[in-house]
Amino acid sequence: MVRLREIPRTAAFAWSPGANPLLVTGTRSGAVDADFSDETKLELWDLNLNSQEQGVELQPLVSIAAESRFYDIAWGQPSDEHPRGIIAGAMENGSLDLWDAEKLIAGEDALISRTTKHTGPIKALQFNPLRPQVLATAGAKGELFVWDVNDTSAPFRLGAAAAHDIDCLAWNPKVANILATGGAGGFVTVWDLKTKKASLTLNNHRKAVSAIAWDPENSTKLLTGTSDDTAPVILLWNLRNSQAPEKTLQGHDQGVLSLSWCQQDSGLLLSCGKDNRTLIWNPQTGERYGEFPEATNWTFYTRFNPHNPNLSATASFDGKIAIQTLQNTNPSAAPAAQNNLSDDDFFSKAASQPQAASFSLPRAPAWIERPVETAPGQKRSSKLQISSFSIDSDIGSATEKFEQAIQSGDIASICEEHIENAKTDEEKAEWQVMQTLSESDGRTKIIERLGFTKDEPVEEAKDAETPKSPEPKQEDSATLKPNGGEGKKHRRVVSMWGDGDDGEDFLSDIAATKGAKTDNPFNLLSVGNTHLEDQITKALILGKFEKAVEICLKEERWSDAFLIANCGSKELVEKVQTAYLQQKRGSPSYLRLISSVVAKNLWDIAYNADLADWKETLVTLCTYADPSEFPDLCEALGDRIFESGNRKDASFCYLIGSKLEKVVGIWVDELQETEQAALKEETGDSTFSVHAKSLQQFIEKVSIFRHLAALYDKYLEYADIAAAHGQLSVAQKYLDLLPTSYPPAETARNRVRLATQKAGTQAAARQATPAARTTSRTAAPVGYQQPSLVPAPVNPSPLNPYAPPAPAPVSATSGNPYAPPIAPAPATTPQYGAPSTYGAPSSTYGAPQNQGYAPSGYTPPTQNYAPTPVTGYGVPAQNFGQPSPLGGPPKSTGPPVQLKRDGVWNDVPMVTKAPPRRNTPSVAPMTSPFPGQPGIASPPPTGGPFQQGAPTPPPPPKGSAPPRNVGAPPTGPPRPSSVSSNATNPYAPPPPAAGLQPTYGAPPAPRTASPYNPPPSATAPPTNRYAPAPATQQYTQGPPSGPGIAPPPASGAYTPAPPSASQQYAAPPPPRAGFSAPPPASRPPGGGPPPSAGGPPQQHAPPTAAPPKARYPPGDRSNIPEHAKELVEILSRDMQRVASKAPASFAPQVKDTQKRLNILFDHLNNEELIKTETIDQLAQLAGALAEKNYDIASKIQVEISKEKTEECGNWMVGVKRLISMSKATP
Amino acid sequence: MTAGAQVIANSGHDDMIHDAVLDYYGRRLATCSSDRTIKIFEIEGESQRLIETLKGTHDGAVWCVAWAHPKYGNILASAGYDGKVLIWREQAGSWQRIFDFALHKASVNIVSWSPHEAGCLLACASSDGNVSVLEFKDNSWEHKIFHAHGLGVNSVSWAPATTPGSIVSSNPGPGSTGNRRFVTGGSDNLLKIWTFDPATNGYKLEREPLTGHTDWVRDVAWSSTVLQKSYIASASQDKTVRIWTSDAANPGEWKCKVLNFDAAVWRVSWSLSGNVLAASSDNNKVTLWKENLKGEWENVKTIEE
Repeated sequence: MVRLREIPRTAAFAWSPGANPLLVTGTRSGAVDADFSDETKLELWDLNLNSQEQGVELQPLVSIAAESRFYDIAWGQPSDEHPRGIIAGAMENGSLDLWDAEKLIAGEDALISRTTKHTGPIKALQFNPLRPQVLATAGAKGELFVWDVNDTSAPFRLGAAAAHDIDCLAWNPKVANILATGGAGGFVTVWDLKTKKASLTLNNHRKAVSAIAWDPENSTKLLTGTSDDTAPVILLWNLRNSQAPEKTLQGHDQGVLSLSWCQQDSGLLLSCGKDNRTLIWNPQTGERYGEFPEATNWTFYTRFNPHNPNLSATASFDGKIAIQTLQNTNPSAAPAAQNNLSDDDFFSKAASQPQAASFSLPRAPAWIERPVETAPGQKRSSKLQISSFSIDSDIGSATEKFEQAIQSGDIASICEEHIENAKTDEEKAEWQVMQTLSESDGRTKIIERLGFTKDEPVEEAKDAETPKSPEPKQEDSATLKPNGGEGKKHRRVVSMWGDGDDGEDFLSDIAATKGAKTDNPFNLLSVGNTHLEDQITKALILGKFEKAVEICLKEERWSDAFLIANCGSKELVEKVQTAYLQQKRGSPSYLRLISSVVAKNLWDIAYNADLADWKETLVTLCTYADPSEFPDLCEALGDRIFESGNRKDASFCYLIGSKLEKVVGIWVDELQETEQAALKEETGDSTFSVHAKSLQQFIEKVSIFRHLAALYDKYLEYADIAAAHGQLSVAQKYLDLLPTSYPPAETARNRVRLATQKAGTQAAARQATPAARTTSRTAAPVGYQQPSLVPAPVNPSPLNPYAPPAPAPVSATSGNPYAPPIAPAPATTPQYGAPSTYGAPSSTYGAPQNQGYAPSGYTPPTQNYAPTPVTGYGVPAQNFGQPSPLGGPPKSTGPPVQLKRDGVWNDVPMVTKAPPRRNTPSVAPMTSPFPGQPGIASPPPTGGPFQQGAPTPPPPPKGSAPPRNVGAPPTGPPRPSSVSSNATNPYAPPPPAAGLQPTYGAPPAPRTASPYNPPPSATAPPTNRYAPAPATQQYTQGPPSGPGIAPPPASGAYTPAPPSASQQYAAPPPPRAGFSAPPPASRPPGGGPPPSAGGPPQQHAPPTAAPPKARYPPGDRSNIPEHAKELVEILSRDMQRVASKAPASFAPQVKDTQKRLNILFDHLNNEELIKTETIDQLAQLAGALAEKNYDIASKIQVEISKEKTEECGNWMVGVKRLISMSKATP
Repeated sequence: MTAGAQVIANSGHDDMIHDAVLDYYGRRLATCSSDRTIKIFEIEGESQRLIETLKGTHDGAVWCVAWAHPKYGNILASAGYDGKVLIWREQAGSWQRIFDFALHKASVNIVSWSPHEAGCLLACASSDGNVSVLEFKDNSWEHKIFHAHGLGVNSVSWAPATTPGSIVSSNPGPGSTGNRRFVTGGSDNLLKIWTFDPATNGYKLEREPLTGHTDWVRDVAWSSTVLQKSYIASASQDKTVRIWTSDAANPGEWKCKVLNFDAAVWRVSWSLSGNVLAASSDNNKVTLWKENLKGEWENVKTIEE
């Protein structure tokens, strides 16, 4: 029990009907106030239970004066007329007063009527619970009236006058016409209003009946309370046996004055009486549950709240009406407000202090508990039943089907089905795109889907003379929009350019045919050529294609220029192209297209092409775009289309570009729209089904697309990385995202599975690693330890490197001595932080690694290699030793040192990385550390220069791309990053050189092969599987230079100095370029075997030009021209400065740089290769360097390497590196 | 599965069962009864096995059991007429009582775990008019208790962690209080929606109470299915279920639909996903309801005893 509120009145009261409990009180007849006031009031009280702040003692809400004191009061149910019900007062003066509750609350004149039919006081009254307008009143002399509250003028009287007063009455709650009355006479009369007669009389032992309560459920049972102190009992009667009560509830010490039988739970009864006590019973069983705190005077009236029987109110003659709860499960927390009322007065304190609830219901009251019907005596019990209900069976089956399809990898069929079922064009189109993408030759198909076919135009393209003289019929072509000034192209043109092979053929065809013709002019040399022609001829004779081309260009002999250029280097071709396109600017739009294509500037197309021709634009992108750029280009185009509001086409672009995030954005919108649309259709389905269906379709789309978008590969790659770093659970998580039938994941899965099997040991191992690591790696304690914090590098080595190697020799290498090295090598790769050394490539590796390694410098490798010998692979050690002769620096012997050296040559990783991938699945995981994978992507890591050539497979692009880039990459990108990222970088050898040396160092063949030995790998595999493998990997793109070229002389090739081995390798850019023009490359004109290896194209110029001149021996500086002297001076000085200060660990780089510079000086000494103009530039560069103006120096350097590509040899890298080293050297 | 219902005829309870709840995976069933015990069954296919009886701790009928989200462990909360909220945890196969909350002064009628995104929170509705929210954090339990419905709180139900109309969960970062919001139903016939107010570190009434019921609101249930609208169902003694919906566009506005029953409705419950409403009423009937696209609620299934 919790006493919630207290009303400081001695009054008759009634609960309001409804949820918000109000009490109405009327001053009780016979009450004596403390001040003996005879004021009589009708008051309303709001319990305000929602406010906890309010004090326990209430203030009346409304208080009006009443004419007379109250014996009883009742509050009727609301009706239309009286929305808050009627309050009826049984007045001492015999009148029945009715008030409108609402008006009372509102403070208006609330009295409805005041009727006096009773001749004496009305002692009791009650509204009929079933007929709210019916009211019964009873009082003195047995007067009993039944009223219609709407018309109080004519109540009807029940019974005749009697000697005794009626003190109580009660309507039967179940049968509306039954009323029971009781009084001082000791009889209970049951009246039937239908007959208006007493139907039954109960003899209450002839003791005065003070209270009657009907059983709320059983209409034939009632309780009577006896006010006689001699027999203070409560009797339970069953009217079926009116002779004797069924039960007698004994508990009160003195007369019972009031009863309240809970309407919600017939097992609860409140009774109160003259013993000041309020008891709670189970009247059915007679069990007394307990009692409320005792009052200090008679408790004359008690009532459950009809709405919430948890509340009850009990009025007593001690001036209080207590409102209390039935329960208090936490007595300690009960507010003890009463304690504060009168601190000083012991008696009042004792009197008013509520006692703790002294009862506890053995069971919860019915209103709290779910109702349950039980036969009497039967144990209550419940049965549990679990049934299932499928909300939407469609979804279940659709999901299942989809999962199956995905598992089986049958994407095509999924797509097809969706295409068939697609409701909107948009949706259909998307599925079609995805279907297209799922096919192997995705891009081609896309082009077809866009309505362009490749084959047919190719034919025509072959017919076409040259790209620069489009035939009229091409212009007629349908797709060429008349006003489309931008980015439009002819489909034939597109196709022609689009198909790499054909393009190449085309060029060579020209060369071939024209070449045939040139035979004639040749013969005619002496006949009648113009001076100009003679000049050209001369230049040609001398092999000065460049000059010849220049002359042609001047004369706008475009076709000649092209022809000649074609015999020369790619650069020349491009030069001619550029010149031509510049010349023709403003002419037909296809030229702009070609211009863009040639310049590799597809961004122009993507950004500026008219959106009306987005399809054509897209085809162009498909055809030309570099794979690395393609997605972004598509995205750019997609963005534009999206902005223009065409969602469908935009999503098409995104889809093709594999831009999941963008396309998903669109799809989410679509999802919502379809949902809305479906909702509008009102097919009778539920909102949820619609939502679920839309969502499912959405998920299907995304899933399929994920698959297509190479996301799986990314997952796999990531899983590999994670696994390599010991994060097996993470790896597993991502592997789980892959379909089980995804073959590439097999290896990784196995690995993770095996690894996790040994989870215990591994975990231990992992924890132990820090310690183990330090011990085993003696070499680089401090420097290394730090990087170890970076998860990537360190973890792999302890965990993985060793595991994989084991399988490798067995499965893949079958005892090949070279196998082991490969395995360990990969492990090192992460360490190398190839990235950190060269800025540009680093980006491909992924930033994190980059940073990770930056601090560690080059030490880490050492440790990594160390294991190799330990593991017992003697051979590998040897292997690594071999390179040392090759590369100047690595002279040292003994594993550790080597390792160090290897570390320096950052490229080892790349090389090594490649083989594993190619070779055996078991090794494959090792490659994972390199995120920059996607197949072709491997080249990028190899180093700046190679990057360009490699990634662009289609010849035409390559043709144009490399030349432009060759110069730039090594210089431009790397530099900034190297400079900014860390001090160590500057010393890093140029990527190419570094990469190559170590690689080839290992096995003899590769070594000789040099960068240009891809073929050997192809041909030689048996002999030397592992060494070549790398080579293959890296240079595969390199056209078929043939095994023959590979041989040793490479080093000697075009640079006489033997040490130049490294330098030679550094040369890659130019050779690369040469390679990319495949056919010519294979037949290096001038050079013997060595030059050929060196990369035909580039050598073209030097060898041919060189012969006539007598060469000074390398190292000779006596013939350096005046204007070059100063620069030589500066450069050498700075070089010396750097060399003296550079950390020992960078000695190799320094040496390499020196060598490279020496090449330059040799060139200068011989006045070969480098033109005066370039020398001037170099002089400026040197000047800038002398002034320590590195930015300018590098800028000039970049310029030179860009503009003077053909002059730039290996020396350029040296210059570049000198700048960065110089900058890093204080 | 629709074919046969799994029946546990002999639950082992000596009195009426008041609540039976499957855990997150549908593998375990917790029941509670007027016999003051809680029983845990393991469901395997069509068979079930009593694995634990938790007894001797509740001093009255146990009204309600609730499984916490598994990410917080195997945790079960129980509440009963004795005003106590008990938290149980299974570890290594044995169940321990890990927390007693006994501040309520009257029957605790329903306890409800918040969506796990919002944290490990348990809201308790008590007849004493208060709602308490227990939070398990840093291995200890904190509580907030506040007055909600003066005449007693009969039910409480959390809002889903995601706001309506959003496909992607507006996932609150760790440490954020997330979408701590719930609805309560009381003996004052009202529904009240409460939101956590970080400013006061307490819960405040979000809006005016939802009115309409003419008798006790026995149960409230906030649908966890995130659709275009928020759905709250309230079951009442007045023989109706009211379904209150709020559009994402007008978050504060609640529209109401009335489902009429021929008896007082005691419990309502939404399917975890799918927005199917189950209502159980005095006449031992459980009815399932689904909203069609016209916005009408249809009785799709009736389970009678």
